[in-house]
Order: sequence, then structure tokens, then C-alpha cells
Amino acid sequence: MTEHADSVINVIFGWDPVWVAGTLFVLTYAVIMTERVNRAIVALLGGMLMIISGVLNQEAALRGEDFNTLGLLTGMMVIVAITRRSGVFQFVAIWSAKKVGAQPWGILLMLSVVTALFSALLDNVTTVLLIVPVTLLITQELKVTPFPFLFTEILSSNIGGAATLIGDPPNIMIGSAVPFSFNDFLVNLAPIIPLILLMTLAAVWVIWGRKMHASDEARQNIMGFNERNSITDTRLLKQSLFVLTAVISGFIFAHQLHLEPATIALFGAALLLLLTNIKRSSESQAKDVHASFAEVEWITIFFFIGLFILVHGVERVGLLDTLANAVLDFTGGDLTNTALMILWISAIFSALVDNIPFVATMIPVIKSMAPVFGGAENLEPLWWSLALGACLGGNGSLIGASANLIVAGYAEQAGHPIRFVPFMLLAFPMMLMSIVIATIYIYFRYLV
Amino acid sequence: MKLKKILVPTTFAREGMKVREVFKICVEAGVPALPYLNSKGERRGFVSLAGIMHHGCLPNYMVELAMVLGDQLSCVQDASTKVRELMDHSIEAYVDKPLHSITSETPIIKAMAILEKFHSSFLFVFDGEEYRGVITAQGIAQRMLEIDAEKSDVVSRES
Repeated sequence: MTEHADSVINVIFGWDPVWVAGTLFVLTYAVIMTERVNRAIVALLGGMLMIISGVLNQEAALRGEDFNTLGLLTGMMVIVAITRRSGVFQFVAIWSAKKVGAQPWGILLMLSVVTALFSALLDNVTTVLLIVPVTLLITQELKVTPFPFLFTEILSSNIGGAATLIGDPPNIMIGSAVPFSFNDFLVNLAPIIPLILLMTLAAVWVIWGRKMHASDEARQNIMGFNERNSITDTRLLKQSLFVLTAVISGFIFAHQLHLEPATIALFGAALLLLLTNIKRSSESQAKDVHASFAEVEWITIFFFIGLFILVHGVERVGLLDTLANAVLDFTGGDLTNTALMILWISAIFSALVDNIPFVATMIPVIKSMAPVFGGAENLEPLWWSLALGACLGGNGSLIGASANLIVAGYAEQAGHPIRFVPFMLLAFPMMLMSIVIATIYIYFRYLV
Repeated sequence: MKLKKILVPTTFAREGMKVREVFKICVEAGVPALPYLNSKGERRGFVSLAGIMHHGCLPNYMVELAMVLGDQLSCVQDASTKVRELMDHSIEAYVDKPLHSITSETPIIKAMAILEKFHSSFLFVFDGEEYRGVITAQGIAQRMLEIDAEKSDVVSRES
């Protein structure tokens, strides 16, 4: 039995809590990695077994839940679900394609930049779901292969997502745990993102861009698209943009407002629901609110709920302290070695498996290193290493991030399958290039 | 009000048929779909005009972006070639999962409720294993018009 500040761990059959928690943790992560069973089911089962086996009681499990992560994710998902109905994102994508005269390389460039920008403000899956249909339509009209476009959009989405607190779930988790504000991410991560995107686009130009060509007739087809028609509801557009701007401003001034990101996002979601439902009948309101909530990615939310319990279980029995000590032994307790090791390990790991469980585990591990490095305030390089590694690592393979799989699935449905190996042969070296840039950035900014 | 009066008898769509044949049967009978039989004569679903058009001509991204499409599109420029290609396709790629079916004794109001539940515009009518035909929303509307006309006749005769 292990004593803890809030209660005593009382594992069934008197088994060793370290073994029970460790086994549950490893088994759950192993099943998640096989991707044979939906990750939300596995994480929830693992989390509940942590309680049933007695490693945690329900009260302790609840303390493991991170309301800031869950609230921020849910709030943003509702806001984006409502905003996308206005057609504004499609408008921007098609407008940008026309701005470059429908030249294939110009379109690739514009759609990649738009993807990166959207990904910094929306979640990556939503972003690619908005951009990929536009891409497929444009490449069909230009009679060019969509692969280079889709490939670059996948990379841009993960690169753009790394720039902000709300861009990618690992950043949300890190931001909430440390805590870092929206501005902390802007100041520390956003500056390096344009360079990584630029280098990635340069590589894409060398591989495909130089040879891209479309006939004048085909380009005229694109110029004939009417992006204004994508705006189906002007009132909704105004309401959505107002709330989205208010929420982003809220994130920027969160410190002065004494508000957490989850509160801002959930308030924004509630406000947008109110604005879009005011003056409607109660039946119509119920339908609309139900439809908006239905678009929340509950799989992700429940995945987090289960994962937080699971990680809290292994943290509570002291396993993560042991892991942290092992990392420190390996790096000799040196901050530079530890930061760069976290950056590279998280990148490689995130390229091959889901980065969310990895980050969920690494957060308490890094936190427990504080005494070695002279306090929590000195851990900053480690946090930024984890964020950059986990987000950019997702570019290493087709299964590295949810957005990659979404693009592949959509492309396959449209008759343009993206195969695992050809994708990885191109994407993995580009991911390594981005991590080399991140290494130089982290080293010179935080470690010299 | 029973279904028998609005039933449109049709043949089946069978394994190996071309899209052209299914279109012809549907257009001649004025129905939007046919039940599908595999080579063993087993009912395995249905093929519909809308389903074939959606899967054969319209990728999802075109549907999603329908509002922004211009009047000049690459697929319009060689439309007749694409149509001929589609007509030569076997129907197997367009078979949808079996739909809920009803019997010829089913009251029309129940048929309407089922149409509404499955967001469909047609239902197949089977008495046991025996196929009777298709009922459609248009058929129901036509029957309603007939009832309305009968009622008007009675009123005008009485007056």
C-alpha cells in the first residue's frame, strides 16, 4: 500500500499498486497503438479499470481530469462547428486560389499558407476537412494530380497547429498543465513556424513545384468559381466572426482578464449559440443546439477523459517519477541534453503513434524534473521542446496525426489514395528537417 | 387507403446488368429505384437513380462546393464521353444496403411514416418473398389527388 496526500491506495486483492497501475497503463497504450479498437473506448476502459482496481477512487480520478483542456477543446469545437456553416472558410480558400490567377504552384502555396493559418486557430482535423474538398475540386479542374497539394496541406496543418495554444491538442495540454498563456505560445513557438513552413514549401517546390503546369482553359474554370456563393448566411457569418474575434482577443488578454482559456472558449460557444438561436422557437432552438453539440468530436473528448485518469493513476503510484529519474540519468541531469532528447524522442514517437497519450505522460514526467533544474521556471526549454516535437513529429507518417488520416481517407474516397510508404518516404525526411530547425531554435533561444 | 392502388410493378435489377438497363427500366416505369438480386437470385439491396448519379458522377467535394461551382467545368466539356462510360458500368458498384420493405396490405399512412423515417422517396412492396412493385411519394400524391377529385365529384352531384 502506498500513502498519498488525499487518500490511501487500496488495490484489490492486496496487489502491488505500482504493478497494477503500470500494467493497466502499458496495456491500454498498447491497445491504443494497435488501432484495432476505437481509442476513446480503450482509454475510457483503462481509466475506469484504474478506479475499479482501486489504484484511484472516483474523487482522485476527478482530480486527474484537466477541465482546462476539456473545456477549451469542447468550446472551440462548438464555435468552429457553427462558424463553418457560414461558408467563410471555403470562401477564403477559393478566394486565395483565384488571387494567384489559378496558377498550380501559386494555388499550392496559398492553400498551404491558408491551411497553416487556419490550423493555428482551429483544430487541424476541421481545417483539413475544409481545405481538402476545395483542393480536390481545383486539381480536378486544373487536371493536375492532387497528391502534392494534399501532401503539403497535411504538413502545413501540423506545422501551423504548432504555433498557438489552440492549434493542436498537445499544446492545449501543455498550456493547461504548466500553465502557459496564448501569448506565451505566440512569443515562444510562433516565431519559428514561418521558417519551418518556408523550408517545407521550398522542398515541395524542388520535388513538384517546378514542373507544375495547367492550361489557360483549365485556369479559366477556376477563375469562374464564385466564392461569394459559399457564404450561405451573412447574419451567421457576422455573428461567428464577431465571437471568434472576441474569443481570440480573450485568449490574448486572458492574463489581464484573470480568465482561463477554457472559460473563454466555453463562454464564446455559449454566446454564439445564444446569438444564433435568439428569436427562434424552442423546438428550433433544441434542434440547432443539438446539431451544434453533435459536431463536437466526442471521441477526442472521451479519449482525453480516460487518458487523464490513466496518467493520474501511474503518477500517483510514483511510476512517472521513476521514468523522470531514468530520463535524467540518461541525460546526466543536463538541461540541454534533456531538452533536445525530449524534442527528438517526442518527434520520432509522434510520427509513429498518437502524440496525445505521449504528451499526457510526458507532462507529469517533466513537471517532476523541476527540483533537478532549480525550479519549475527553468523547465521552459523542455516544454517548448515537447510541444514542437509532438506537433511537428505528426508529419513523419500518415498515421502521425488525425488530420493526416482524415486527408488520406477523403482522398481515397475521391479516387486519389495516399499510400503509407510513398507518403512516409517524402514526409519523414521533411519532418526531420523541421526538427533540425527546431533543435537550432531551441538551442540558441533557450539553452546557450 | 391501401397500397395496391398506387403500386408500380417492376422487374428486378440483376447482377451483371449495366447502368443503361436500370435507367431504362426506371424511366419507363417512372420509379426511382429497383430491388437488386445477386446471381443466386437472393435479394441483396437496391439500386437507385439518385445513388448511381451520386456515386457515378458526383464526388463528395463537388456536392460540398456545389454553390461555388462556375458554369465552365472540365467534366462538362467531355460530358457525353463520361455519360457513355457511366452507362457501360455494371450496377454492382452502386448497390445500396437493403431498404425496409412493406406488404401490399400496409396502409398508406404507415408507408408514409416509413418513407419519412428513412428520408426516402420510395419503398419496395413484398408479400413474403414475392415482389409486388414500388410505391413512391409521387404515387401517394397522385392517389391523394384522385381521392380529392372523387370527393369534389360527390359534392358537385349532391349540389
